[in-house]
Amino acid sequence: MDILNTYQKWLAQARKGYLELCVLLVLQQKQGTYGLDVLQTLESVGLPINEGTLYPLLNRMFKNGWLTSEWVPPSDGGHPRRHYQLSEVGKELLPQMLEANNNNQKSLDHIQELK
Amino acid sequence: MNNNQYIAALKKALSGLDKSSQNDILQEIRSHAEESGDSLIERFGPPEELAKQYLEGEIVATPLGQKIWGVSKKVFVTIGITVVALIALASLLAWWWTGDGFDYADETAAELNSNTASWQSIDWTDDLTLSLNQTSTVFYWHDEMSVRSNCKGKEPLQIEGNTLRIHRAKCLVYLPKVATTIQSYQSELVLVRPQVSLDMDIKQSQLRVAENGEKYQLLIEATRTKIDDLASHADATIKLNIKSEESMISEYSY
Repeated sequence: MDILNTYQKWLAQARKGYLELCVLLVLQQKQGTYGLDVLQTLESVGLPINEGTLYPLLNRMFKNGWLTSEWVPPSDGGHPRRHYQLSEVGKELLPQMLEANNNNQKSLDHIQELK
Repeated sequence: MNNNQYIAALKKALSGLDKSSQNDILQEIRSHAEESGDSLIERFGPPEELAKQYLEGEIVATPLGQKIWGVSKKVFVTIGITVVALIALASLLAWWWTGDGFDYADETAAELNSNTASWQSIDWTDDLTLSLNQTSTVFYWHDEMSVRSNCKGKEPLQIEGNTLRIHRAKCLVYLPKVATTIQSYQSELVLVRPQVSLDMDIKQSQLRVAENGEKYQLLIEATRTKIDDLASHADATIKLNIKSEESMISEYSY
């Protein structure tokens, strides 16, 4: 197995939970928005993500009860957008996930400082 | 593959999902395509791969779930409904063959008033003891001093002194209004508007009473007996003295 393939598999595994956290954060900061906007926001902060990854992820988070959704017609007309918001479960999860992620980052820093 | 073809292919690949989820997913992808102007196949990859992402963790939606042993769910549902319908039909037929032919509580039923040869009459003026063993018998009372019976079974009615024995038979019996004792073992009895007080000793039997507007004073001494829906009236003149063991006593209903 070549190194690139191995790295990509590891990355996909590592990003799954991380992406969920990032999506929750974006939705909290924006007080709800739709898929394309989440995609562009993540890209703008240096976290490009494939459409084929984001939409199924949003759908799974919705099914898990972390998000709620509603169809909102855009003010300038066009196809209605599916807007997502944090559900009560999502609101409770987010700070816990953030804390766990921060702790992981600190642990990683400590490890790197070890001699 | 243009976007419409992509959506059609994605819809097919998502067919295991419930309609509501399918619609939400397809609408969302359409909305994205319209707003971004993207080519779906370029941005999302093959529709089958995208569908896999959506179906991940959806137990009912996996492709295997759509077909079992190569047979679609619709076929299984059709077979299931057919089997249930056949069972219901068989039950109805069984009930029709084995069920009571008429409402025993209907004292004017044609079966009771017919004068066919199967009805037998025995003059009876003395006290009467009925001994029932593995029978199914319905009792009525009439003004005549006779026991009128219509029985189906291998063993005919037997008379020993003041005792009338019914064994392994299914009978309709009219009784005279004389003092009567009923002894029952492993039998099914229906008393239709008893007109005299009765002394009964029943074991492992089912006793049902059709009051037909009459009131009775029930004096029951029961052991391991289930008693349902029968009211006792202290001012009633007709008494039903029942000694019961391992039996069921209830109101008769058709």
